[in-house]
Parts: sequence; structure tokens; C-alpha cells
Amino acid sequence: MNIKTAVFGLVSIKPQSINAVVNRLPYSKKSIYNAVESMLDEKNLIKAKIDGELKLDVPKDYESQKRKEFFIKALSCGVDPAAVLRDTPLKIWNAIGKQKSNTVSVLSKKTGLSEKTVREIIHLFLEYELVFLCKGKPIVVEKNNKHPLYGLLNAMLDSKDTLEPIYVAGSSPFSQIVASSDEMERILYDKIDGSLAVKKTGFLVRGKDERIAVLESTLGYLSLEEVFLKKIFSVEGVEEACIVLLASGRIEYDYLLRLCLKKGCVNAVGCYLDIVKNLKDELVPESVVETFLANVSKQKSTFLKAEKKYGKAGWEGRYEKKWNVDLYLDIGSVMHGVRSV
Amino acid sequence: MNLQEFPVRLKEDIEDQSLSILKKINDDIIVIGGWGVRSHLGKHHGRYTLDIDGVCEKQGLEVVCEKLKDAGLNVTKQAWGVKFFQSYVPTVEVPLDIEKEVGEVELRIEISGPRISEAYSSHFFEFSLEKFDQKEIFFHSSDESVGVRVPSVEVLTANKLGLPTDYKNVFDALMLLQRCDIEEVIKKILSSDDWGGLVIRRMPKIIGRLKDKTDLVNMLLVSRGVDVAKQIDILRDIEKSIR
Repeated sequence: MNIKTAVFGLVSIKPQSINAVVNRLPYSKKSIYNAVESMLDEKNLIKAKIDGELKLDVPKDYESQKRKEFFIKALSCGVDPAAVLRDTPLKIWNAIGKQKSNTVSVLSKKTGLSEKTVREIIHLFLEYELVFLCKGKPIVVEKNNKHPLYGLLNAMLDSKDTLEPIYVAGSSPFSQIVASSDEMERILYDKIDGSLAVKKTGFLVRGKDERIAVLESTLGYLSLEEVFLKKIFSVEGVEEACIVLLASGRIEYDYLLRLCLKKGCVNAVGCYLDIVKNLKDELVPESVVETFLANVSKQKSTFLKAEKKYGKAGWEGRYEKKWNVDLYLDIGSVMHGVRSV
Repeated sequence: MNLQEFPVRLKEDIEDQSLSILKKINDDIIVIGGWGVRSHLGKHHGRYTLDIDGVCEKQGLEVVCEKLKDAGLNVTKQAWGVKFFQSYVPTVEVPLDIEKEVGEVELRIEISGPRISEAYSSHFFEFSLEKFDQKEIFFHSSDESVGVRVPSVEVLTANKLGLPTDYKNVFDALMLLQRCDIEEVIKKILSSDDWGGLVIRRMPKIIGRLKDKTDLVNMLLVSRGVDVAKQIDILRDIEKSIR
């Protein structure tokens, strides 16, 4: 283990004074001072007054905190953190996809690294049980998603799994972000000085800016169609987000229908698409409504459950009959949303 | 998914161009909707709608129609009034990755008579064309402003409290409510036909959204430092007074 890794490991476990670091690590005083100075310059460490004493600590930003978490977990798993957290192993880790075609030659092509380098790193991953050997000749590996470092290693990657933004004209008093829990953690760190709220939790902090970021966490990466289905069963979803998604023209209706069939929500979604289409014809293609209608289920569903306690307004009849739904929707709110796009 | 606004310069260019159109007809209409709310609350409102909503009398509409047609806007008649629109032509640089989205933006002005009917109900709200406040809306790109005629803050609030309870209307209503003489709001609700009946119908849902800490409306108001519990008490008082 190199000296910087040892210093970071020690300080990660517990903030230390510089004297304690010098006394406890088996390196020369001069080498430790040089390493610490360089780590302070690189902002990998900070000096902070803790319990009345000046100590070395890990910065509070997302990357540093994740690195700290990784170091502690890696040491407790018997993994040299510095060996794994270099650019080359991370590049290869990133390239090992979910599919089972991760041969040395495929990974070499994906990363632009030589097959020799890829093979060395794969052996390192195998030694630490970060990957499984699916096949020996040629070597085929798969990520070990049960390894305690699996999620942390993914979090160390630069790639983000949020979708391309959808642009809306005008100004909104909030920004809305739906992302996976891993990505959400990064966003929380990034936005913690501003105003933010996490959906469904009641967690809300006021910050220096008035415009609040409303964050919504999902278990993994969601396609736009999955986001649509997540939103359509919420009051805010039907009055704005779903309409904006439809107006973006980026919804793949065949895929949406497949998801609806799987989740048993063709009636509700078809009904909503029909209503939106009747309010603004160009938002939903005619053939889409017809295809959904051809797949209506005999099982009656309630749409939208959250609105049931406020009762019906009297306009719902024809849609209820057509789509076999018990309909509770504020048509005025949907109209307002439709007029805005 | 990330619903994102256009970059600030572009957004301000869109708003300034909309304001330039409004300048041509500012003495002919009463501005309602998001722009009306904004004229009372200023930048603190934080919500800027692309559409300009206005009301005027029938003869006035003909004048507006002529002026906007001369300015190159297209016209379509709608069930509720007349919609004027034209494609937005940016005067600032547009990032390449959003060229398509920007190309689809329309500048829109929607004008109807002073009586606003609620869809799927017999209720209506009538804006006065004689009584209004004179407000200024400033351009982003210069110190210039446009003088606009808007209903008083109490009239706008009275109207908003009877509108559908989507987050935009409820947020607007509650932000306005804090600037209001509550007695005046009650008078305005009661003076416009049976608007009170609609306000009574909306109230449980408005209060429900305010009370629910996971609802967007609650989050928006709390993040602005609004005392939500106090607002709920005020809304209950309004409801009691108009019953």
C-alpha cells in the first residue's frame, strides 16, 4: 500500500492530528509530511478543528465522502483500495456490462486498453471476488453484485444514469429530478446548499435559492415510459409531468403499452391518453388510443385513487364506460396543463 | 428524468419578446393568469408562463385582433376566446443540443371576454374592465417596462381560489393571498355570480394539498417560508364566510 493510501485510510476511519499520523504509520516523518502536504493541496484532505484540536479529515463533498466510505469498506473486505480506485481498473469496471459477453477482447475494445492490461485487472478483480468467472477459455466475467463494494464502485464512476433533460418553456418555481438512488446521492451532495425536498419522505431543507429542487428516487435507471407510468398515478403527474412527456414526442407508445399490459394498467393509461388527446389532438396519435382500447382489461380499475376522496364532477361517464375505469380526475387541472404546452 | 428550463438568456429573450407583443395591446386588455400574478408578486413569484392571458370586451377584441395581425401574429378562434400566436425567433445564441426544442416554442396571447366560465360547470367569474391596478413589468434586456392593467390582488386571488386545484393555481393563490386584505377577497368571491359555490367545492382539495407534506404545493410554500398552518386557518375563515 502506498503512503497516501495509508494516510487516507487512517483518516477515513477517524480524523487524526498530523502527529498521530506520523507516530502511527510505518513511514518516515518527512515522507508523511510530504504526502499530507500534497493531499491538502489536492483537496483530498482538509484540516479541521475537532474537539479543540487541529486534525486531518476528509472533505465533506460527495466524491470525498464516497471515497472515504469505499476505503473503510475496502479495508474491511481485504481489498487494497488504491489498487482498485485507479483510472484503469475503474475504466474496466465500467465496461463490464450486464450482458454475459465480457471477454478480455471485448473489454479491450470497449476501453481501448491492451488485452494484457485488461487480463491483469480481471485477475485482480477475481482475486478480490469483485467479479465471477463465468467461463475460463476464453475468459468471461460477470460483476458480483453481492460484493459489499459493488454499489460503491459504481458510485465512483463518472457516468450518470439520469436521462437527457426534457426542456419546458417558461419558468417553474421548482426543478424536478427523477433519478436512481445512486445518482440521487450525488445530487443530494451537489444541491445540499440550495432548497431541496425528497418526494415521499417529508424531508425538506430551505437553502440560499428560492427555487426548490424536488428529488424523486427510483431503484434503478428508468426509461421515459417507466417514468410516465410512475408519474401518471400521482396528482402532480397527471396535471403536468405526463403532459410534458407526451408533448416532448419522446414516448414510445408500443413500449408503453407493453409495460401497461405487464403492470395491468392499460385501462387507466389509455383513458388518460384519450382525455389528453380530446383536450389537444396533436399530443397523442389517434392510433395509440385505438391500440390501447383494443387491449382494455375486463378488470375495472380506479384512476386516480388519490383523488377519490374528493368525488366525481359529473363529466366522467363516457370515459368510465369506454375504458372500464372508476374515474377521479380533476379535468380542469389536466386542461390547465395541456394549455401550457 | 429532468424537466429543465431553457438557459437563462434564452428564457429571458422569450419573455422579453412576449412582453414586446403585450406592449402593442397593453391599453386594450386586462392581463390575468400567470403574467397578472407576476405583476403583483414580481420575481419572488418564480413562475413565468409562456402564455399571456387577457380579457377585454367584444369591440376591444376587434382592435386587439387588428393590432396583433398587423404585428404578424396568427389567429385561431377557440371555444373560450381567441388565441394569437407566432413562432419564437431567438435573438440570442441557441445551444446546438436544444435547437429542436427552441424551434418549437410559440409566443402566445390568449384573449377572452371578461366572463371566465369554468369547464364542465355553470360557474363563471367576471373580471371588471373598469376597475384595475396599473402595474409595470420590466424587460430583462433593458430598463424599459410595459405598463399593464391587472385586476387587484384580491380579485386575482378570488378568481384563483375557484380555479382547478393544480399546483400552479394553488401556488399562485396562496402566494397572492399573503398580500391580500382577506375581507376584500371574500367580497370579491361573493360579488361574482355563484363563484363562491365553486370556491367551496375546491376548498377541501386546496387544504388537502396544503396539509400533505409530501404534496408539491406544500413543498413549494414551505420552501418560500410561508406559514402553511396559518394559511389553512385563513382559507377556513374564507370558506366559513362564503357559506
